[in-house]
Amino acid sequence: MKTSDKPTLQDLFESKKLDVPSDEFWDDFQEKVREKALSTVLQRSMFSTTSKMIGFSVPASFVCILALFFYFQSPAPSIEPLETLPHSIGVVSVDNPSLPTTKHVDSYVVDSKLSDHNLYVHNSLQWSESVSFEEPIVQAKELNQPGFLAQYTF
Amino acid sequence: MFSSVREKTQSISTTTPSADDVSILVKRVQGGDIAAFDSIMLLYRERLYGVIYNMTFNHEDAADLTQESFVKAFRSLKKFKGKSSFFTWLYRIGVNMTLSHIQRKKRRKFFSFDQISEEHSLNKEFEKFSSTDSSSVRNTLLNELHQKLNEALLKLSDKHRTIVILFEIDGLSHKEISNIMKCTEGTVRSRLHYAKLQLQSLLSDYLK
Repeated sequence: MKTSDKPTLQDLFESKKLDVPSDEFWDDFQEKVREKALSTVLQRSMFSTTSKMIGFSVPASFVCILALFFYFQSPAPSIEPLETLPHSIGVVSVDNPSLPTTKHVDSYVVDSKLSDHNLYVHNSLQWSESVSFEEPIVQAKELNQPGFLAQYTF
Repeated sequence: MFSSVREKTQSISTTTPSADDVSILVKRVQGGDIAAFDSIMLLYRERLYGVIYNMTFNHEDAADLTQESFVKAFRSLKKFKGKSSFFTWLYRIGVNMTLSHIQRKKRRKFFSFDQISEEHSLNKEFEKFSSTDSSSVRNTLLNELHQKLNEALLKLSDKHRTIVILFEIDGLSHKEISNIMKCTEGTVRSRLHYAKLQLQSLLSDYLK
């Protein structure tokens, strides 16, 4: 190659600018980038939906689990925080055998908040028989009446 | 022969879009208009591809990396605040991706002349699809010179090569290159000077 034919470094750089792909290449290129960009958008929207769902469902399920835990852990519902007997009423035992005995009398618990109104007795008397209170007394009185059995004497 | 090349490159040189037009397009994409991103791609795809190709000397890699750069830019566009110009930002993405790609490639396999010749044959195949249909430009001598230039560029460090390509082939200013490469203008100038000296000596047999 003659020296006059030889290019300069600048000429070489200039000629490299011509080294560009064809239009067909660019059509394909544009299409591929568009596809990738769209899939990015789709992935992003799917991710945001999923993250929103997770963001909502995780705390919600946690709260549910916590609620269930406390529900099963806590003692049976009772009226516990009541004060025990500053206004307690003594247990009255009745020795009369004719009366149905009180089998069990729990402690009377009086709710102090209600003391000004009605005494609120939580544990009522539990009778050993299902009969009413009046019935044995009436029956006993009838039997003790003088001449009560005379009508049956022949 | 080379005077005709100069004329051709002057006629081909792309018109630079105005900053306002680009910022409008960027805002449209940020607002969810994907079609506006097509317009952005049309503006920059050839220049970005050219830079990446001249860094990798492999058309397939260049095509993949340019696509990836655009996709990454699209994904990150919401983070773009407009502190630098859009094309500087886009070029930075492309250049960084390409430098990482070259590093990865180097780690996998040291560059060998076999590989260069293999890539050269790929380039020849690719040229079948090339749009520039000028026999005077694409003659054997020019291809040979291109190959020699590519080989010489490959002997430069990645950063030196990138600066030469951005300045000499893509026509960016020192300031723009310093923004893209995140270094001072002085560094760009000194690297450019050193790189050109090295190229001149490597290609001394083929150049004036």
